[in-house]
Amino acid sequence: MKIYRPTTVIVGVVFVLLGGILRLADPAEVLDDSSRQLVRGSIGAPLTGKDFTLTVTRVKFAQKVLQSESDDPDEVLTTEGVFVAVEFEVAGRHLPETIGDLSLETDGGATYEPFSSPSATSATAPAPGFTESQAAVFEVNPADLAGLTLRVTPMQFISYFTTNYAIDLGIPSEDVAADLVAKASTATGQEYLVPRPQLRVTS
Amino acid sequence: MTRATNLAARIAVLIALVAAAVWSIVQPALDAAEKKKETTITEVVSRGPVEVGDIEWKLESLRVYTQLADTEGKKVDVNVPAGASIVVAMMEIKPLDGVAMKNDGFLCDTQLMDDEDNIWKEADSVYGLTLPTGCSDEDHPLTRGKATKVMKVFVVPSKSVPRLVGLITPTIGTLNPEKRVLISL
Amino acid sequence: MESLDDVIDAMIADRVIHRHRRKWLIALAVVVILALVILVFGGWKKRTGAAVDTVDAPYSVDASRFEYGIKSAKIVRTPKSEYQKAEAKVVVSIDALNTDEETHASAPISGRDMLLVVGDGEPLEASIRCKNEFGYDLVYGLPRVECTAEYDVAPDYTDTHVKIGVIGQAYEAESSLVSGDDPVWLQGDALVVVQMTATVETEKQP
Repeated sequence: MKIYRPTTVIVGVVFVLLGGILRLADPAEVLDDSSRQLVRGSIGAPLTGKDFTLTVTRVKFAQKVLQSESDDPDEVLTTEGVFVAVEFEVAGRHLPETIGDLSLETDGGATYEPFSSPSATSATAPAPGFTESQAAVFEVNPADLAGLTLRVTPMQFISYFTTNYAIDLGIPSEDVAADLVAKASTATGQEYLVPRPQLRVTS
Repeated sequence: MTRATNLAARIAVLIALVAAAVWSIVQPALDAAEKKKETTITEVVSRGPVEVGDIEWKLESLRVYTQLADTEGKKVDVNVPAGASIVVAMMEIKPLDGVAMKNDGFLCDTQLMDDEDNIWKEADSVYGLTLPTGCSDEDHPLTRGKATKVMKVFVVPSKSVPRLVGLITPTIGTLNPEKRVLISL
Repeated sequence: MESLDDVIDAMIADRVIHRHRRKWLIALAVVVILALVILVFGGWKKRTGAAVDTVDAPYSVDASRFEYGIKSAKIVRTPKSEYQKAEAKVVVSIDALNTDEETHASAPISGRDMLLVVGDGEPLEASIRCKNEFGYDLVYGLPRVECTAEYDVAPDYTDTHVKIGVIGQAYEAESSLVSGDDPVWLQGDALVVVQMTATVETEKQP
């Protein structure tokens, strides 16, 4: 019955300790928000990543969203809240790639998701030397807009060292938000036509 | 158990534990290195022919076009933004024995590279040209042992045209994924 | 000479095991028999399907993350045409409200939380559309939205006594590889069965 030899016991204890240390140092911890890298940007300022430069060009508020130029009433999206359209462009370098999924966040803690169509749902970098302009459309609660930030979140696989992006959209307070919402509803027939993705050569 | 076996067993366990520890620390770096390997060029060949993954590749020419015409001489629709050019790589592709070629042919997508490490993929949705643009074209099927002319169409910024270096052979679907050849002019 | 280790080994072997041989054997036998018994009787699981109340529509269900107002149902029949075979579906109209106090996140309601209870067999999952869109994200803070839950049924389905089983969601830590110890919204317990009489409609093929 040599299973409880002192050496065996010590080896067992070392194994347990090693397991504990590995758990603490486990690279899977990188999946927690605290250890993923977060890069902040703001509207109008180009944000440079590994193989791309992303710039949010414009934020528009609207009460109605048109999916195409046709007059078909079925193609018009309406809301009890307000629509926010975030127009952005991405310049590609070296290789095209997917940067991440888009969402909006506010200081109040809300998270808004983009429409699947005709809106852009993720930020992608086009072929090198080209810049692609797109728009992402979100339906939001007008009472929770302060600190509106565009989040770009890469796919959550077991990939280490991922980078998240948070771009401030220049709506620091509820008052500023309320002002923009009011403007969107006063203009009669205030509509936003979602632009189709456009490609141009990076200047 | 003899003393020698006993000692050997203990050392083996120790080595296994240390190996496990080292592996979990080193693994993320290995993953990154693996990813890097996907984009490194292993060989540079001038024009070819060169055999990669049971396919013989040959680059005949790389030319710039302002527009492309179909079999009837009418203009073919290609999305070319202002400041970009159509670049056509005329290739000769010969599938050798051993290539998995079902009814739909095989994948022979290449990439175009310049001297700044920029890589462009082939333009999609280009239809109606006199020559095939791929190796699974029903109208222009490829046969083993026979070289077929294939047109590879790319859209690149005009300012990158003078810096173009050549075509990279595909790594996906070939029998030899470690070999990535740059066929230069 | 024997090493100290061997002496201690022998001592422990004698005092702990040899002297109480019979007890050890009995304990081992008990464990083996218990294992066999549990195996034969199909395991340790508690009988699920805890009793859930059945109520009449219209009824408002509080499912933590959402609030569903289950209103009415209809059976829509599409007779056989030149191009399509005969079909039928049960369509339930629901008012949905995002009540996610925890994360204030926009999210769609899931067809897995709104099941059609059928006589024999598994309950059916719904295909849900809100404001006529699949996967519509309900926004926290905005008013109720009209939704429909559709279930594909056999073309000769006649049971107008429609029962919808509503399952709630709970905000708790999943301890998975992806989310670790952070709480997420997970499917929770069955909350209630809402029953109603469905009207029958026949859709003409265009």
